[in-house]
Amino acid sequence: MKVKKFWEKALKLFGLISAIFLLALPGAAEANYYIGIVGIESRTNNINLGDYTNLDNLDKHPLVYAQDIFEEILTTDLPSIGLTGVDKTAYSKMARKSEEEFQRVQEQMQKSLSQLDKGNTTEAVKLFDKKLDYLIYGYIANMTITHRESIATSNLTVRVDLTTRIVDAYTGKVVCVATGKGEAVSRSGGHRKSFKFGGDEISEDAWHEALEKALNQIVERIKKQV
Amino acid sequence: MRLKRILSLFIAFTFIFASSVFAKPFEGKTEGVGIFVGEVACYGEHEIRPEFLATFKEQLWQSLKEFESKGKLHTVGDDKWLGGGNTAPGFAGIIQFDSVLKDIHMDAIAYGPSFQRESANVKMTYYAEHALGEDYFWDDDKLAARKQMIGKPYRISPKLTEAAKTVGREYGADYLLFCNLVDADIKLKNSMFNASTTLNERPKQIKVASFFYLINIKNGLVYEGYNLSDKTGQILNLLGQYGKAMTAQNLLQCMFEVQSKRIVEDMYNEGQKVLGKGA
Repeated sequence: MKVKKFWEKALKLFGLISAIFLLALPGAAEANYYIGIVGIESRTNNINLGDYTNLDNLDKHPLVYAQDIFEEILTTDLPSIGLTGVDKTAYSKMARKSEEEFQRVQEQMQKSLSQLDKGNTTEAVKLFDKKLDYLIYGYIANMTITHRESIATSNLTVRVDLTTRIVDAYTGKVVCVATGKGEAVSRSGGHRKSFKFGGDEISEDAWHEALEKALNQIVERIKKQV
Repeated sequence: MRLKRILSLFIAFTFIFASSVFAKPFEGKTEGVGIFVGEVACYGEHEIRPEFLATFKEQLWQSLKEFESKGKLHTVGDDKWLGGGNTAPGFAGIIQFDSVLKDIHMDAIAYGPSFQRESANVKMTYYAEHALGEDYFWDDDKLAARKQMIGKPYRISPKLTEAAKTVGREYGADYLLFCNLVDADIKLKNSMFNASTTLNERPKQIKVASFFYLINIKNGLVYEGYNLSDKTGQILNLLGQYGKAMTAQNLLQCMFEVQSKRIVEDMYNEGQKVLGKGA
């Protein structure tokens, strides 16, 4: 009798545990938070839009590329920490080569970014269709170009310092700050795609590499702070 | 009985598992001591440009959070020191929040054993003269006695000690942290052997100095920590990493990163030890 009772109890227990797991697991899979990717702007005193010249042979403005790769890397990497990246509806698709259009969208974004700095998220939230938990934005804190010359070659090193902040979409409170630096060598001459920053010619590849490195470092640092 | 125990254990584990998955990112860490950052500012003789101060604040935040991930401390309170606009809703009515944090910081600087009136900005000088009396800074004995206190805990004025305790209680903090980025200076050198005239390639001399003040909420004692990065091995390491043609901005960024890490480590290791002993 005792053995029978034991098995009855064990069966009941097993049923209860499996019911709890079944209830908990689908919910856990859905437990995801949405993070709106606002974008990147340049804030240093040595960069402004006028500094990027000779853009004719580029597909995208260097800052638009920065926006795109910012969105791309974050949407790929953040789900691993339970954050689903949400793209803005307008920015990247609208602003391509046209300088006027770029300026207009840039102004619109700068307005929302300056509000974000003050802890006001209303302007930035308007850029998205979805209900959000967090907003992420960043800026180029520093960009420097150094010359590396030898007898045979003359190369440039592009270094980009990026800073990102994650804020709560409701309260505007900063919940995470992550910085990253990326460096790439732009070899001189023969670039099909390049632009000028100040007086220096930078290849598109070097710009992409530097940004990518900085953003990957940022993602690693965000993961550390979760 | 044993079955009931097993059952309750299983249920507890299930809930722990579920709650860990459901936990909101960037929230809910309460391990280690609670640190409330009051203010990060420059009260040095020369004003530091806002963008550099902002970079320093961001680096400090990052260092604090990276230390937090080790489970040794957790930050409490809002992001107002970082430049955000948040203040705990219940707190706004109690005291003038901004001004009281500024006052606590300036009081900690003025009573601090390393304070030198001549290397502070005008605001700080006036505050110190008002708090300690103008004669204090002409009394050599008092100044010499004050130097003996370096590395030891000290007290600030009773009124502001109480205010610090109120802030700490409001936010559930164990310590208040204030940081004074007193000096960030890059000098370009001229050398007759230096053939290059471009700005980036000229030799540079860098100096970054900061004080931090840690206030224990329980006993009201203050610890003053000092960090200086001058011509040290660190800079040589940085040059090895980035090349001698490192620009002034790059150098500053790196030095701020080093400084912020040192502040957090010094605060955790030395600051807590000293303030605990003084209790």
